[in-house]
Amino acid sequence: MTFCRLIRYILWRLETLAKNKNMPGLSQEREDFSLLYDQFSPKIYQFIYFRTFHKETAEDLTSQTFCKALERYDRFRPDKGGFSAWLYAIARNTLIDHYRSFRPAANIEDFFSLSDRADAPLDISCRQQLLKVRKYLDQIKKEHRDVVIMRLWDDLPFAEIARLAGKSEGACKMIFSRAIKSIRKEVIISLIIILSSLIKT
Amino acid sequence: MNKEKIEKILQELYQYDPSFKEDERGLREILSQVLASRPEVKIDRNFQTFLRQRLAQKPAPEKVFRPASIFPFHKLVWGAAGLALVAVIVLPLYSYLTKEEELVPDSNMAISRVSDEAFGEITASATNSSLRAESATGLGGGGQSTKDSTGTSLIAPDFAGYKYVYSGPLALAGLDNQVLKRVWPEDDKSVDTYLSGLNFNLMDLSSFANAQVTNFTLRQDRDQGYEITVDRKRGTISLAEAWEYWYADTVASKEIENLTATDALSDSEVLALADKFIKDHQVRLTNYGSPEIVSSPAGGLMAENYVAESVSVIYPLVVNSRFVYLASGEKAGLTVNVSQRYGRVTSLISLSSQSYQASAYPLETETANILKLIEQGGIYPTYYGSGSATEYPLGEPSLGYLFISQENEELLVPALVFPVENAESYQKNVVVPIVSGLVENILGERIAPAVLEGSSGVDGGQGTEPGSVNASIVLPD
Repeated sequence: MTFCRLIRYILWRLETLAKNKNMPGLSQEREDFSLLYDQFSPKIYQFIYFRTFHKETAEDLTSQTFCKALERYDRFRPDKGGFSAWLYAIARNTLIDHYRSFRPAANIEDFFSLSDRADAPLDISCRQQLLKVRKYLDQIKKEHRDVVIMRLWDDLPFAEIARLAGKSEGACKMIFSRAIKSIRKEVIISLIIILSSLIKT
Repeated sequence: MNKEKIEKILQELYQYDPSFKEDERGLREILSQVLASRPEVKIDRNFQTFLRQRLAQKPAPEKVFRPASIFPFHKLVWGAAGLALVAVIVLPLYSYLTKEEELVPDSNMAISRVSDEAFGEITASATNSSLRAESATGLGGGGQSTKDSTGTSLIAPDFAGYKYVYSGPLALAGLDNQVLKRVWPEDDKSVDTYLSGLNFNLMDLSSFANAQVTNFTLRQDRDQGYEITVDRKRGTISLAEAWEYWYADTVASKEIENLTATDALSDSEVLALADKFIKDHQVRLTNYGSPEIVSSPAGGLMAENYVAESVSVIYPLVVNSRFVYLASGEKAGLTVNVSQRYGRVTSLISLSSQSYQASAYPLETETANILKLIEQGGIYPTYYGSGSATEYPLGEPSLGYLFISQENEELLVPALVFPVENAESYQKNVVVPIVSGLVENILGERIAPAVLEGSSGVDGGQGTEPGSVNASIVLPD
């Protein structure tokens, strides 16, 4: 250990002691985390549910997400992005790990095709809704689906979607608009096909 | 809701690509369909609460020191100089800084914040002492009975009135307003399933849905064995001597002799025995302070040369670096009873899991109300009798918690703890809660003492049913 590291260690230790003295027992971090849990647990649960469509799996992955977040909370740096983006990123990685238990090379964009698998549990109540939304989402590239779902179902702003997807905000807006265009185009084409078949008959 | 959202998204799209405006109707249709197909799902409240508790009980992660790489000190000479500095200055400083402080055994205690006044109204009517067993005095270590072996009441001592006087300053502003509620732990549900299978083929216990094992008892089958009781629901463990393995032979042969002064253990011997037991059985003392001998009250009823069967040691519960007190002014915590006859620990009481929820409550602002409680010696009213009361002066208060058990929950209420500055006093401390709702409840519920009239005593007069009291109650004006 170099002299400089020692000095830094002493300063860090003094800071920790000072913090503990101010908040004996009831750690400020725990308290903050507790409040954030109340605020974010419904949203994170929904975020995971929309990508698993299974209550028990969503609960399990939500638990994993918050446990990981608590373990790493001391590493969270507010200056490097908000808590929301940080937590959603943990949830997203937890989901990817989950998908990979079904298919080793899976990614988050695969969630619609994965949720169709026989070995992936799926809530019965969601099957009809999934069929409905597939009519639209099957029209767009699978890597664009997640952006659409994040904006429309998760109600995340583009800035946050950009951080999660590792793209720029502009790129996310472009993906979203192209995805909507593709859906519109496919809807128009299918309408033309239906109309022309009606005319023929 | 969806309408607003559609409008917002349309504006975003138009901003990015104005050509979208050409087919607004079609676009609206697509967006509303995708939004309408969003599953209406909400997090299960039970799951949310369960996870919150699980997180609260999760130990805090070890903080890791990660220095950023700064000045590169590769040269040997710098290394040697650094080592020399470590030896001379830094090591003693480091050892001082990392030294365990005496009153911080609760550093890993899980406390989660919940909304204000989340535990409802706090009342003191059901305050009990489940966190503190009375010291055992007789064979068997029970020590809590108010009746002797014949079932008759002990003769009550002459009534003495006490009045507690505090004349120092009393500042109530800015004190801690967090009431803590102990959270029952969640444990492995597979125990329920496993134990419901143990049915001696008599009936199907698993047919009772959601049946849970709330507590169980383990008994050591050996001489001087223990009986261990685990309350799964409340997360507490207690143990006591298994009676037949300790005293059955002695009682049968009627060879019980009173202990004499030579049998008495010194305080250090008692503490050493308690500590050894704690160490041998790896009792986790994370949230408990240094052990203290529980001394008998001065001027007791016992004969001067009486030597108690056992001596109690308390490891006081420490929460947020504060002691927890019972309404009687005694410290609450883990009690270990040591038998002076056998030189062994006979019982361990109130070892409990320590996870809490914290909720803010309004504090009492009326100094007069606090002074009323001080005068009466705490939350229970004192009857001064017809004669004058002995006045006991009180010292400077410190912050502590008052333990309150109400409706299946255990609360720690912030309190001022005043030491009684008189060695003769039975009560060591006067504990006064500072939460306004509780103070109002205590003062509001204060019932004037009843005077029994026309009765020969509590055994009942002529013609009364056994065990009943035949008396008319007259309340003073």
